[in-house]
Amino acid sequence: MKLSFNIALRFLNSSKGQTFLIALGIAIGVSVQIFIGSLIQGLQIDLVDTTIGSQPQITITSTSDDKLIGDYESRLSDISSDYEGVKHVSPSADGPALVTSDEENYSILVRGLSFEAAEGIYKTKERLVEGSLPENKNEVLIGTTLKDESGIQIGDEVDVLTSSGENQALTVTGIFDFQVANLNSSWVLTTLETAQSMFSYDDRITGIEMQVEDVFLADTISSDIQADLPEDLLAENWKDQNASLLSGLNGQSVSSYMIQVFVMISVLLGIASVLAITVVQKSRQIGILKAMGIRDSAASLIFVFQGLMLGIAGAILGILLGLGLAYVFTRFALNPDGTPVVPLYINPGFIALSAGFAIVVSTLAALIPARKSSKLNPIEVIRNA
Amino acid sequence: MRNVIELKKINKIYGSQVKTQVLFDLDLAIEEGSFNSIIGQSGSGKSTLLNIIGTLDQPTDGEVYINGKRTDQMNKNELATLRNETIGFIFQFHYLLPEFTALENVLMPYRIQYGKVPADKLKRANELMALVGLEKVKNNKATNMSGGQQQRTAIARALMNSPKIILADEPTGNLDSETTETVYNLLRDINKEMGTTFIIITHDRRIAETADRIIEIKDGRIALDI
Amino acid sequence: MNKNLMDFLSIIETENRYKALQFVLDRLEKKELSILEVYEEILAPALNLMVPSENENVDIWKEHVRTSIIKTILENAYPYVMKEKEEKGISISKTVAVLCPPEEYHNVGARMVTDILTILGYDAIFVDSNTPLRVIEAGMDIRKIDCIAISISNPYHLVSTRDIIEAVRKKDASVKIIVGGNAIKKAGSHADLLKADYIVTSLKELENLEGGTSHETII
Repeated sequence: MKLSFNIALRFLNSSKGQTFLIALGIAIGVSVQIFIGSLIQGLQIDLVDTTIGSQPQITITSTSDDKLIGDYESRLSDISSDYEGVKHVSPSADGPALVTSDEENYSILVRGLSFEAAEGIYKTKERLVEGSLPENKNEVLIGTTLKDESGIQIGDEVDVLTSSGENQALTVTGIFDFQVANLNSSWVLTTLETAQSMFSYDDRITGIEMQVEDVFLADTISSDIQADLPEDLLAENWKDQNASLLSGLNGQSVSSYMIQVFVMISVLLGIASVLAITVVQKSRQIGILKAMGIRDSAASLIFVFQGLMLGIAGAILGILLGLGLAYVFTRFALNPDGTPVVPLYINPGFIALSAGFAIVVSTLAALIPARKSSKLNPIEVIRNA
Repeated sequence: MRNVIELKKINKIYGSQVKTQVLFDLDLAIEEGSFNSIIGQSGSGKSTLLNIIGTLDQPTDGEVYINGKRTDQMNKNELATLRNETIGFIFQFHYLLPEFTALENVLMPYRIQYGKVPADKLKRANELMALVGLEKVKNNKATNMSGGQQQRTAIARALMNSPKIILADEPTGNLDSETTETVYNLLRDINKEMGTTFIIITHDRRIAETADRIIEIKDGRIALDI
Repeated sequence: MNKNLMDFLSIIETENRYKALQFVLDRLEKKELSILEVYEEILAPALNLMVPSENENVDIWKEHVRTSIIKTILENAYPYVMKEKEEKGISISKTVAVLCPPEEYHNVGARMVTDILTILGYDAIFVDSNTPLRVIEAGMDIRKIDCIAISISNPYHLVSTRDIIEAVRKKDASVKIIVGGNAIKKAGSHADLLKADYIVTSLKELENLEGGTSHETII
């Protein structure tokens, strides 16, 4: 074992240029893998974050006739305590309404929230571009689009007509921007009590919203919750509602895997062929070692060790190269505001996996020349002097 | 003296489509401690004979006994061990490992068999380097030595595991006449002092002239055996 | 060991060329010994009976010096060879070329054979040591050679001798071949492989070539 390792090391050392080139080949494979992987993962995380990061990922609604959920307090605390991976559980009381300004009617969705609980989901504080959050009853926030279209300003009192025909005067305390035009024009945020009294929900709500730690587990958690819910309550998750986004993400993942697999296959073929050549280059040495009585297995091990060492060197070099590439990318591929075009996601687990994969692949690639060297008959080398 | 090598009815046929018989019913016994030279024209089968004795090649049929053990039925690992312990090879193209120093090359047969080199074996390797007159260049890489130095290193290497038999194929074929003299005298001294059995294929008159026994191989048979 | 040899050995031990020469010429002059006796009983044993020492190189030195002294004696004995030939008065009109095979430099034996054959009445030509086949063939071209005597000291040269004999026979099947020398003695029965017509292990045996004691005519 030790002798094989020693000879492998000497062989690699004796042709430094060749060794460096093979290691570089592996390194480029690993770095491309790390870079593409980090890029795709970053892209996905960014996309998921912008799409559903500021939205509830699981929503519980009622299927009863009045669409209302009663006795929600205990249900809220049950959900946050009973299900792992659930965060930011928040009640909402929503209802459609019309708001009139300058003789124009605007269709709105009044959303009564517990701002404290909803902060985790909607990050209203961050989204607030003017004014402050509603603190008292009948205070509301409106979106930037509604503000621009209707000319309503902070401090204005607006008349809102609910679908049940009731009128309510509400005071605008702030303007939000969710960066989605639809929400900015239709949503009017207010406190839970305001919405409950406006729509005569009493102490009931229309939905329980929550986010989960791992957005991709939302469907599993959702079905777990559903299982414990009474029949008239329905848990839905973002995946059901965003099938096209999901298939897009999947397509991205698959193409990323494809790229990585093919990069590794080309690395494997490269190493295998170069090592096969080194068997020819070193056949004289292998022949003489066999004449001196080295066993076939030990002769094979020389090349396996070479593959292993090349894999390790290539992996280390590849990690450095990949991280360097990532650094350069985040440093120079920038949006006008100075943030990276795509925020890379550096996942140590993924990097370790890529490196480990490269090492395994290099070692496997070395099996071909190892087999060849095992079969090499010393007599061929000696006879063809 | 007992026979350290015995060949019985050795035939060697190369090729499966076009068959070429290289050795014909060859019988040969070599006495322990003797200095034998094999001569013959190229293509006579003398190298094949030496390679069969050295277990590097297998006879098509016939029996080969090395040191009393039948080798033509051994598996590859048994042969490797037998070669390592019993036989030292010296080839025309010395075949040192260029990646290693002269001393490391000399130690190689020991390391192949036993792995780690204890102090007394390192001492032996150094003594062998001194014996072949190469103490000063023992830490040179093989590529940084002259042909004669490389060949003497190969001789020291062949001696490392104190083999009973040394097989040499044109050991001086690549050397100038003065170096040939040095190498030849070295082989002869080793034969006398250590009792090592030598079988040397050679074209060199001086080596053949002083051998205990001259075996001429012609057309795959022993033509002359004196 | 006869007295003459012992006396000669004690002289040649001192490497005194002149004394050694005088010793032999004196015996020949007084007809105490014939050429054959001098060669077989004194000179040949003096060369063959060298005792090896520990140091091989010193041995070679001594052997060279002694060989050179013997050669001086051989050259100076030539008048006595001719004298014995005349006295014998036999003439055999057959030409014998005496030589050593290629790379064989030990020519003393060949020289002695030439002298003895001369005395016996042959037309003996001393072609000397290290004679390649093409040179032998050239010699056969310029004159009729009836017999070739090949002297071989080292067994190694038996191989080239065998090949020479084969080639000579191919060229002229009538040429008779005699082989002799230390290598032939060492080879024992293997010497048959040479396929020579006659194997001689002593100078005395040369007398038998033309009938002689064995009544077997070889040449």
